[in-house]
Amino acid sequence: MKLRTRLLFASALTTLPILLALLWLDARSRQQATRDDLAHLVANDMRDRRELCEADPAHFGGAPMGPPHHAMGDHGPPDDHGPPRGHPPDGGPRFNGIGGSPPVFFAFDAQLHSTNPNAPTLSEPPSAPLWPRREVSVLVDMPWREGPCAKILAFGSTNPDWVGGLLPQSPIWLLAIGGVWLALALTLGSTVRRLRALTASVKASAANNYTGEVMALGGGTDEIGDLARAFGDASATVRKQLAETESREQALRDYVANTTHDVMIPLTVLRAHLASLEEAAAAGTPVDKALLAQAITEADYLGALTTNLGVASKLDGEPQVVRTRFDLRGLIERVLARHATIARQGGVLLDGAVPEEPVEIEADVTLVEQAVNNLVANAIRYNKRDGHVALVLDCSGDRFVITVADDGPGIPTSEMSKITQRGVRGSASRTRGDGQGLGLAIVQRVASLMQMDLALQNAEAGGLEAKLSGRVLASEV
Amino acid sequence: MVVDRILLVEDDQQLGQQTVERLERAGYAIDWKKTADSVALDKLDYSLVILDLMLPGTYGLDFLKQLRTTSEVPVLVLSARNDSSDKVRALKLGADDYMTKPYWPDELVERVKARLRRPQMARSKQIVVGPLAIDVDARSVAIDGGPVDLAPTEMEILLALARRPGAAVSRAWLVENVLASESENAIRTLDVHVSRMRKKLGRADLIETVWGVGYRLAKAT
Repeated sequence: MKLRTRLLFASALTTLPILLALLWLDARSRQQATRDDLAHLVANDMRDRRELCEADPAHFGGAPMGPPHHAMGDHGPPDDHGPPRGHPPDGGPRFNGIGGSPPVFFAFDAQLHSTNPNAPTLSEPPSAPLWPRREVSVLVDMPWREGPCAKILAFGSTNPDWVGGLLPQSPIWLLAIGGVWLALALTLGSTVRRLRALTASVKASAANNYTGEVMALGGGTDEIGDLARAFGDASATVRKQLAETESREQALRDYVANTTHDVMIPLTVLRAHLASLEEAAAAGTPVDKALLAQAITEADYLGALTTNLGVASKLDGEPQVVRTRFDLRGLIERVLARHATIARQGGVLLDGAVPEEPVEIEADVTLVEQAVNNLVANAIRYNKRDGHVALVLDCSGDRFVITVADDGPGIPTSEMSKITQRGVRGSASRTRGDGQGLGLAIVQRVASLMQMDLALQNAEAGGLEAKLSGRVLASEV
Repeated sequence: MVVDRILLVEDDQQLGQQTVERLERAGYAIDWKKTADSVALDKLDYSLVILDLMLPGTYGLDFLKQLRTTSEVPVLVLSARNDSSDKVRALKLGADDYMTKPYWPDELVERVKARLRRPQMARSKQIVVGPLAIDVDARSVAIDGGPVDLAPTEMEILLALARRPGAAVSRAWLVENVLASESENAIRTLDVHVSRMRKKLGRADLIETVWGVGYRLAKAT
């Protein structure tokens, strides 16, 4: 239902009963006033007409009353008795305050009998009807209380009748009511217009994928202004979230593109190596061990890359960390065993040492292992043939230090500070990324999550030395 | 020589085949089952169980739980999931080691060796490395039967290396635990000690220098 129709219904529903009640009250009070006036008129009038009535009660009244002397139906000119009190001086039909028609009298005796054949039959005195009518009747007791004119029944009418309350006598009220309606129409018109404009603006913004703003509608301070501002704010929030989603999607697209690139290169190289090996096998030539070693290196690289991508996604946002107590020596031995083959194939000598006593820490074993893996994998990958990589766990006091040293090319000083940032790869010597430069970024992130310190420095004798250190748990007794 | 029997529970045909070949080449006898249901838990007679977690039908950890009610055999768990919570759960349920895929077959062999060797790592009182014989209790050293006179610190260094033959010992550990020195020159002092020991032993190759790490007593050949 439209706003205007709803307002019309609501006002009709509330005003109609009030109007009817007021009309009833108004009509009833006017009828009561007419009855009182009529009784008063009878009392005054009959003082002069008693004799006339008693002389011929059968012909007294029964017709609209004129001045007293021709009340018997005589329509001759008025005599000097003068008009009944209250009669307008022009002799018109209207009794002042009584009603529109001249009153009609009938004479009754004390037992409510009338000798006038036109008189109505009365069993009891007439009472005021519940719903006031225009016609009014009243039975008035005369002071003499006897004879054929002991009671006078008088008929009259109200003027205007009951609907008269609807139309005030002065039209000035209509002006006021018209003014109120005009003001209402103007206010309502403007409200509806602004609401329609707001609806159109919201629809336009939605159709445009919320790229446009919802107009503020002149910055009104009323409820519609508030509504428009609320829509504007909501639309701004939607736009912001859409922009964020778009940016996330873009980042995801970039990520997938970069990851695909990172994965595709070693996969292509691996495939080429395998194809060469297959050709060699078909031709019956001996296996090229160097080629095989390269193929294995590529496969290992792919594995490390995939693992790092998985770890990086776990470390984003709110990382799920599971801390347990474990002996770091086992972790170091696992990392050494894991990289023994790849180091041997690359011609790199990998060695390591752990203390005799347990080195227990409380941390996420998978994350720490991945961090150490990355340090060792980098040290091997960026080393030269006959190079060295050492993985050493030492413990002094309540601190442990995991040292990964190599005699590879090291990292240029200019890159040292940002090498642990995600997405940064060394430019000169470490050209190949390990998953969008994830390797060292993961080590850095794990170190900060586990409250460990990561220090990278170029060794004096050449090569890179990475130290991951942290607190050791007090040994359990 | 007793051959260690290993139970491998792995559903992947290729990976299973590869693993069996590698382990057999390393000198172990392998019993390969493709499902956990086909393992007779009441007749387990293995030195080690290698268990893949992603098995058809039974979840590997459920099998491990079941196995632990009847047997104390060491279990090495294999999984494609590199997740700490999985790892912790497996270890809590009684797994002895945990390896994530992908891994090199050599790594698996190394881990199996380490697992099976561990109980025999008790300190031996007599350590023989080629011509070198060390009596730990008597704190005496002989080369080709002839006694070698080592200074007390040198003896401690040699014993530290001898306790873990074939494994490197870091300079920092030796400095802190044998020299008990915090001086900046301590590493230099250690190197001097080792140099002297080599001279006294008459063989430079018995104590190897390990790049970036420290020293190692050569493995017995």
